[in-house]
Formats: sequence, C-alpha cells, structure tokens
Amino acid sequence: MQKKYLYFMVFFASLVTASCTQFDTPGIVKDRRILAIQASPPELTKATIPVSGMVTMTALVVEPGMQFTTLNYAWGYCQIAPAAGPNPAGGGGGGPAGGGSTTTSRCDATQYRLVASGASTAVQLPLSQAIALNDPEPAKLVELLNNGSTAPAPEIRVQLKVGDGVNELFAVKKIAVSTTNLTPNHNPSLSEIDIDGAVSLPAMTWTYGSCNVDKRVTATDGNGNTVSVCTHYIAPVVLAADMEDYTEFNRITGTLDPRKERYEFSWYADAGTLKAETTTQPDPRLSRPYTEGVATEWREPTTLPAAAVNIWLVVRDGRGGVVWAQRQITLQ
Amino acid sequence: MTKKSKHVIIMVMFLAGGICMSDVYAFDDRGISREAESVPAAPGVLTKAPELLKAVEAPIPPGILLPGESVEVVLQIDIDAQGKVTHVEVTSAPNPALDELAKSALLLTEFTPAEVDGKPALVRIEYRYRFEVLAPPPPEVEKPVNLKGRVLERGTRNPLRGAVVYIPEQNLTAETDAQGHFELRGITLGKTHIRITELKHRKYEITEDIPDGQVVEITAYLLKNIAGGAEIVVVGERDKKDVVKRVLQKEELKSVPGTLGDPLRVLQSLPGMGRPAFISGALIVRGSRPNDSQVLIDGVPVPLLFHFGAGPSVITPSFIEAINFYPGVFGPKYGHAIGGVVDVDTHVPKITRMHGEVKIDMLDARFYTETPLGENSEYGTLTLAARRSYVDAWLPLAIKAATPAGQGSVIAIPYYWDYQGRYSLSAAGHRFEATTFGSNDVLKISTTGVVPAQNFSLNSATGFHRTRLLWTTTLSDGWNVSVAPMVGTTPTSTDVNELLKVNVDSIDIGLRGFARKEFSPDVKFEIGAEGFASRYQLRFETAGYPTAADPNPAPAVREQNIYGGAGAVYTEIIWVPKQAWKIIPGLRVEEYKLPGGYTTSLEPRFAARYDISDTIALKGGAGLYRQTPLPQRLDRILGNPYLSLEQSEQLGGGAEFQLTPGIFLDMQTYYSRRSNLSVASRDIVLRDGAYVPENFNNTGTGHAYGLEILLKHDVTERFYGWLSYTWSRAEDFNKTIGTYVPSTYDQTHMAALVASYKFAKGWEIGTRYRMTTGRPVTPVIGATYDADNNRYTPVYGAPGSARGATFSQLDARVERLWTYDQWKLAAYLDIQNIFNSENPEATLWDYRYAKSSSLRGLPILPVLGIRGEF
Repeated sequence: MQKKYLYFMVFFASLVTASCTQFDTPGIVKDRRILAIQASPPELTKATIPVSGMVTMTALVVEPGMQFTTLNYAWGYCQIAPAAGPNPAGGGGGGPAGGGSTTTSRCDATQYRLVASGASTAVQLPLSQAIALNDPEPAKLVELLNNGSTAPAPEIRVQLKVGDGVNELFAVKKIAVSTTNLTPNHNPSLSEIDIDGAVSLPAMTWTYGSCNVDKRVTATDGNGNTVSVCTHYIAPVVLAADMEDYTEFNRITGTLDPRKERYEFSWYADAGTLKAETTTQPDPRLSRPYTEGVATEWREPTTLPAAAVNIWLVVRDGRGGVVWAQRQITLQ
Repeated sequence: MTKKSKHVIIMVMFLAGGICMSDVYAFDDRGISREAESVPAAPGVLTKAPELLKAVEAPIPPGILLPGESVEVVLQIDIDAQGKVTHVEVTSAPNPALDELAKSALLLTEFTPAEVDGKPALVRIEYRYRFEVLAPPPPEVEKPVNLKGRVLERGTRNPLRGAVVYIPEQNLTAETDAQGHFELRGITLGKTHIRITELKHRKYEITEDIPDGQVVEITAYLLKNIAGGAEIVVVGERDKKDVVKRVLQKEELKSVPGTLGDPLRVLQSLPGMGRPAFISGALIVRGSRPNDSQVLIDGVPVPLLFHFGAGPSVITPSFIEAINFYPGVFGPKYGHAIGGVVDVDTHVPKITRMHGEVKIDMLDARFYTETPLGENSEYGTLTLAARRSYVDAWLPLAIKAATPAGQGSVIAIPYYWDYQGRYSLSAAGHRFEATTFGSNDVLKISTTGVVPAQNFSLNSATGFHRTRLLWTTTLSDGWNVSVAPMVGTTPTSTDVNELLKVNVDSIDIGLRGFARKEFSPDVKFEIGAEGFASRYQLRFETAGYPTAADPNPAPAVREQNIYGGAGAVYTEIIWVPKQAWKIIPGLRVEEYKLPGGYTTSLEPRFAARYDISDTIALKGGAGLYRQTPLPQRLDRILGNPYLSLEQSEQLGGGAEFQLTPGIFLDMQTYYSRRSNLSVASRDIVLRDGAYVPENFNNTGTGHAYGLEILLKHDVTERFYGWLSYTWSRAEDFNKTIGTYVPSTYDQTHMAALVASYKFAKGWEIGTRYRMTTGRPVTPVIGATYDADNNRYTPVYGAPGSARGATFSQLDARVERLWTYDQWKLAAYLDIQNIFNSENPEATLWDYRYAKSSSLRGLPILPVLGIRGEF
C-alpha cells in the first residue's frame, strides 16, 4: 500500500472513529520538562572547534512556576564511528578503510558515558556544562578537524538526564561535525520578543483581564463557567541577516542545493493557553515574507494565577542551532 | 403410403357345390380384407370349410382404376387337400385387364384344407377378388393459430425453454422452444384460461379473450421459485492438482455481509487470510507482507487492487465471474510472488439479449451492461462497466461540520473512477477476447491552519490502464493453445505544497501463453511462457531556493528512466501413475531484469495427491518462489538498486473430506521460510564509489507456519456459507536481539463464519462473524526528548512482546428484491460491526508517550444501497 493512501486511510478512519481522548498539548508546561538543549558551538569544524576541545552544553529545564525542589542531572556523551555519507558536512568522500563497511548512525542508551552530574536544589538554571570532546579518541577528532581531513566525520550525541529521584527525563542533542571548509552553523539570533506590538521585557506586570474589546475572547473555566479573557499577540523578532545560507544534499535530485535557514518557533507557557504552539517561517521558495506566520497568541488563564506566568520561546534553525528566551508576566 | 397400399381388395369365396358357410376375414393392416363362402363337394358332406392362410395382393397397373373406383372379379378356384390352389377360372370379368392379375394372385394364395366327412378333401369355391383404389383422405383442415407468445423469466427476461402452456378447458398444450416461444391452434373463441408451468418457476395463469380472426399474442413473465436464487452452474470437475486452491463463485462474492458487495474483500474470510487494519483491503496471506502476494485479473497483474488502498476494489463486482485464491504452494504457472496469488476470472457473458445493472450507494454509482452482437451473439458479446465515486461531494462538508471553529480547516477531495470493457467472440473452434480495464484515484487535501506558514496541500493521482488480447483454440492434434499479449500504462503523480512534484509513469507490456495437451488419460502436459517489461519514467521536481544571486531559481529536476522486466517459461506435468494417485512436477525458469543486472531464477514446484476414496484425499506439495522487491526500493537514491530477489520456500500438506454431497472439509498445514527480504536500513555503504545511505538491504528473514480448516457448504439456490479457522505463526528474525519475533502481520487465531439464506418474497439475510487475535505490538516503555527536532522519540520494549486487543465483529446484511417483469430492484442494508465492538486498531500517545488511549476500530457502520438489474 502506498504511504499516502495509508495516511489517507488513517485520516479518514480518525474522522469516523473520532476519539474523545484529550491529551495535554506540549505548549503548556504542567510539570518538569526539558524544552531545549543548546550546544555552543552547534557545529564543529576546523574553524569552530575550541582549542580546549570543550563544547558547552546548556539545557532549558523548566517547571510550572520554576519552583524546583530537587534537581538531579547527568550529562552523557556518545561518539559514533565515522559515517561518510552524501551529506556535505561529511566531506563527500573518503570513508572507512576498506570501503563498503557500514556504520550505524545511532547511539543506544548503553553507549552514553557519564561526563558530568549534579544534585542540588540550588543548581544554576539553565543547566550549563562544558563537555570535553575526548571520547573515545579525542586526539583523533581534534586532529581530524585541525588537519583539514576530508575523511568522514564522526557524529556526537549528548544526553541529559534530569530527575528528582522518582521521575527521570531524558533528552538527546546531536552535535554536528563537519570536515568541509564550508561555513559552520551558528546558533540563531533572537533580537526581541514582541508582545502586543511592543518590545517585551524579561519580567512584566500586567493587569489581569485588561485589554481592548477586540482582544477579548470567551473561554470556559475549570468549573464550566464562561468567562471573558484577554489574548496577547506574541511574535519573535529576527533579522533577515540572522538566517544563514548553507548547502544541503537534495535526496531527490542527488545534488547539493543552496538553502536559507528557516526558523521554527516553539512556544511554551505554564499558565493560560497558546493559539499556536509551534510557528514556522514560510518556505523561502514560496516568495512570502519571512516574518509571516511566526506570531502566536497567548490567552490569559481563566482565573487570576497566584504566581507569575512564564512564557518561553525556543528558536531552532533546523541544523542544530538553538536559542531561547523567557518572559515572566505577573498578572494582578 | 405407397400406391399399392392405396388399394383395398375384397375377396369373396364361394365353395363349389353351393352349400353356404361363411366366414369373414378381416385383415390386415395393409388394408386388405376378404370374405368367403364354402360349399362342400359331392358326394361327402363338407365338415370344415377352407380358411384363408396366406393372401396375395395383386398389383394394380396405373390408369386401370381411378381413386375411389373398385372392380370385382369373380373366380372359381380349386383347393386341394393340402390347402393349395390348384386351379383358377374367371367366371366374371368386368375389366379383362384384371383377370390375369387376379388369377396369378390366387394361385399363390394358401388355405387350410377343407374337410369332407371329417377328412381333408379337394373342394371348389367361388372367390371374388375386389380391386379398389381408395380415394386419398380429405386433407386435414389445420386450425389456425390464434394464440402465441413467449415465456420469459421475470426480472431477467431470460427465455424459458420447456415451459408448458396449457388450456385446461380444451385440453390443449404447447411447449416453449429454446427462445421461449410457443403457439396454440384452434382455441375456442372467447374467454380462455391459460396456465403456464415450468419446474423452477412459479405457475403463471391468465385469462385472455380470444377473438375471431385474430391471433392473440402474450408474453408471460414467470417468477423464480426463489427470487434471486443462485444460478447453479455445474461444470465438469477440473483437475484437482493444486495443494490449496479456494474458489469462490459469483453468488458468494456479491452478498457477503460486511464486504459492501466487494468480491475481493470476501477473501478476508477465508483460511490463511489475515485481517488488515480498519477496512483496508490489503492481502495478508499466511502472515506475509501485502506486497508478497500477487493479484491478477485474467492473468494480468494489477498494481492497485483497491481504490485508495482501502476503498472499493478497482473492478466492478459484476465483471467478476470467480476468484481463485492460492494461499501458497501454487504451481509454476504463477510467479513474482512469495506469498499467495489471487487470480480473478472476469465474466464471459453467454447471452442472447442485453443485460445490465445499476448500483448506487453512499460511495459511488456504477453500471454494468452486457450485449450480444447479432441475433445469437454470432458477432460476439460486448461487456461494459464503469464506476465513479462521489465522496468528493460530501466529505468536505462532513469534515467542515466536524471541525470546531477556529481550528483551521481541512479540505479533502478524494474521488475515483474505474472502467472495464470486454469483447468476446467464439467461432469455428477459436475464442478471441479483447479486455480493457483501468482505474484512477485522485486525492486533493489542503489544510488551512491558524498559522499560514503551516498550510499544507497535497494533490495526487494514481491510475493504471491495461488492455489484453486473448486467442485460444484447440488444434487438430489435441493441443490447446492460448496467447495473450498485454499493454498498459501506470501514471502516478504527487504534488506537495507545490514545492515537490513527483511523477512516476510506466509503460508496461506483457505476453502470456501456454500450450497443453492430454497425451493419455494418465499424462497431461502444459508448457507456458510469460514475460513483461516496464519502462518507468521518474521525474522529481523541487522548487528552487531563491538566493541573493538568483532570486528566481529554476526548479531542480531529476529525470530517470528505469527499465525492469522478467521473462519466464514454465512446464508442468500431471501424471497419474496409478488409480487414485496424481503427481504434478513443475518448473519455472525466470530471468529478471533488475537495475543491478540480470538474475536467473530456477523455481521448482511439486504437488501430489492421493485419493483414499471418493470422499477423502490427501495432498501435499512444495515449491520455491521469488519476487522482485518493491520498485521504489530499487531507486538509486531513495532505495538500493542492488537489491536482489526475495525468496520463499513453501511446504504444504493436508486432507480433503467430502462429508456430504454438499459439504466439504479441507484441512491444511503449511510452512514457509522467507529469506533475502528487503528491509529498511539506516546504514551507510560504499556504492558505486561513494558513501550513500543504504536505505534497504536484503537481510530480512522470516518464517510462517500454521493450520487452516475450511468447512464449506456448496452454493445452493437458497444458501451458501462456510466456517474457516486458521492457527498461524509468522515471525521475522530480529538481528538486534538475535531471535525470531512475531512479524507485523502475525495473527495467531483467525476464525470466520459466513452464512446467507434466501427466504420467500425476495428476502435474503446474511451474516458474517470474524474473530482474530490482535496484532503484535512492541510496547513503549518510555521516551527521550529529541532536542534537535523538538519531539519525543519512544523507547521500545522487547519487539513484538505484546498484543493488540482481540478483534471480534459481527456483520449483517438484509436485502429485499423486487422482481418486475423486465427488471429487478434490490435495496440492501449492510451493517458492519453490528454490536459496535471497540476493536482497537492502534494506540494513540500524547506528545511525550506518557499517556495513551486506544484508536478504536470501525464503529457500527450501516450502509444503504440500491441496485437495479435489467
């Protein structure tokens, strides 16, 4: 059966068998979550590999109200044998000696080596950790990059485990390694977060329910009552120059094609609701403004929250680059 | 009647001496009679008169007497003591021309001796010999025909041969001929009661006014005893040479509940056939993958069996005559399948008039017609059918109604159509056919969400068109030969967001032929050849990325032609070395053209059968089977052009029991080992000098074994039904954990009960119950957040270590048939899942695999439809 028919069948079946199950949506933070991991630099090349051989990993770990009681964390590191593929980042040539041997581009759980851990109620957030590129053969990796070798590059995975002794969260981040001389990727830039048409501050205090009539919507509270709440326009501010050009292997045509980064914006809040939890810049081929469709709306909670509301925005460039921002709104 | 026989001769005898005793002889069937008088001769007393023993008829020369005229010649004759005539003398001769004739005849005449005084003695008698030419009987005045007509079956208009037309008051009868015609003569004028009877039809009575000088013409439509009852066609028993071959007749294909009248879905209720998810029509034969089984329509492979993979089948049900299902261990006639084979026989009409059908239900409308060309189909028959869906008319409205406000919108416009046509001609021992069929599925989806940049659109079309010619004949030396060339196209196109356009069009040609001969009752031989070739034209187009240097780039296009094909010869011998034994060895030799080069495949097949008695038989077989991987897996970028043939080795054996003349029990065991299967790979390999994703390789292996039981009641006028049960195990070898695990299509227990009964007054009620073990499930035991892609990746437990819920579903179908004189109308209600069983088909997870719920199967689904036949 062709896949598109399978999709259609499932889609159609979903319509006729519509389940009443309502799952939580990822944009509303109801418990401890890992929302993002940033590697700095996000892509290792001859130009970006630190002299120290260290890559700094930073994680965005959140909880509603950011009231952590206990936070245990552990960083793991896994380096996968070189996998020379058609990806230009892989050098486009060379490969394992003897050619024809295969590699696997995955790390299973047992392959991660613990490189750092901590347990404290007073850890610095976001979690930040320098990871040494020293496993298993640091010399070879650094040497590989410094020597300008075109041999296939290894892949690096970093795992973060966060827990409180009962529940554990796992997240994995890939660090791209490229042996080419192409411009390496950088983490994206996020200039501002625009809220209701104005540049927002990291922490703000608003009057609950105070907004123009055209920003009011009706909602149902936890008791089933219909209430009127305010919505707020939120948009990231990014500059066109921040979105990098790069080349990508086109699996359809088998050629290296020029690309321009297309940011994806993930929105989170620990109270209220979001109209769209993920927004994306338009495909550059559609000749539409790159700012179109990136905004969302945050709707205030149906009851006045006791604590400040946190809103997070995580920006991804699709190539491993990540940046985020947080806004805290106190409703009175 | 001869001229002589037109004469009646009367002879009168007188015994010499004048004493009268008379005897009258009346004989014979030639119209001769005579009378005699006898007189005893002196001097004794006549005690017994002579009696005529042997009369001799004298021929009358032409022209002597006129019709109706008679002449008597009086003679005296002497009869001796032995009864011989010794002397003749004419005493009266009205016509001298007859004297000698009378004398000659009498000299040869014999009598019993007369007795005088109790002793044989010579006597003389007078004899009158009458010549008479009878007038021809007056011509019978044939009464005029004043009632004639035709007797047809009600609803179908099929002529009824042998129907008796009876006029009770006048005891007149007539019988209809092959075309249903009859005539009656001399019916008394006025009101006349007419009664028409035929064995399989209800009595028909009517009163007609027979006027003077006119011929009354009637057409009588006789209703079948069982409205809509099955036409049971008894055909000669075919060679039972296959280890397992399940044949479903037309009657069993169109009214099985839960199939929406779709014949190919009936297969899902047979042993060895797994249940696919939801309403999919995927063929899961003995635990194999759907693409491991091949579907042929009149021997022509079809790329798509069901519209949209799960909709109605691509061929109109009325176009199907029978479905032959080989779940495994099939003969060398078939190839390119390592699972099973479904061979659909299309309907060859044997008709003398136009016949048709129109059907309308919630999904589509279709028609079917068959027409004779010429009075008696001497120019052949023509069959046409077509169907068009109208889901595209109501589905967008339904989706819109079901979508909450502010949630964006989805527009889905799916529609499909298909067509079939066939011309058949049988003449002078040759049969010629031209068959064409095709299908097209179009799917347009566009979503408009709350975020404009996330809008999505998909336009896709998939179709195929095939035309096949067939010539078959039996040569004078006993060879039965058949040749069937085929040509077709398979166009597909997909357009995603107008950014990616993929077209895969193929031109396909093929040839299939065989020659078979029965050299003796013990040896039958068949040799055949099959070949096909395809040219796939692949075209990928992606919109160019604008850059500062080139703000309006041209689309990036990749075009590629892939040539594929195979040619095979096969041979098979049916050998009966002893009574009750049948040995069937066969061999198929196939040359495959793959992107990586040519590959020769030798595929031996073997089957044997032993009839323990007329009602019990044992059978078994084995074979080697190969097929090419799916075409898309051979693509040089998205697939692996160096994939080789997939393979299975199959063993099967079992027993058949004819429990009663109408009930049949079949038990089968099977084992199938699959190897060289193409499976997905995430490895990087050195291919043609470059490291590339392997995508697929041939490292997949697996096996399946099981037991199948089928208890089947033959189709009768009122009833059909069967009970099937399969116990099976299908496993794939998991390289990661180094052991066999249940395959995706493994279902341990599969049972189905199908029954349908035709009641009086056109009611038919049927039911189907199915129960299958849930599919294997690999449990999710956790999840890891993929920070690069902002999604959670499930962490799986032991592969296939859990099971989905058991599937249990009862379907029912009620049909009411109204039979009118010249057409029939049926309305039916087909209810799937009558108890609205949950039957979970899959597990739905929240975004981080922490909470789950079941995706229920099809809810109770009533479908109403009407069907008209003329």
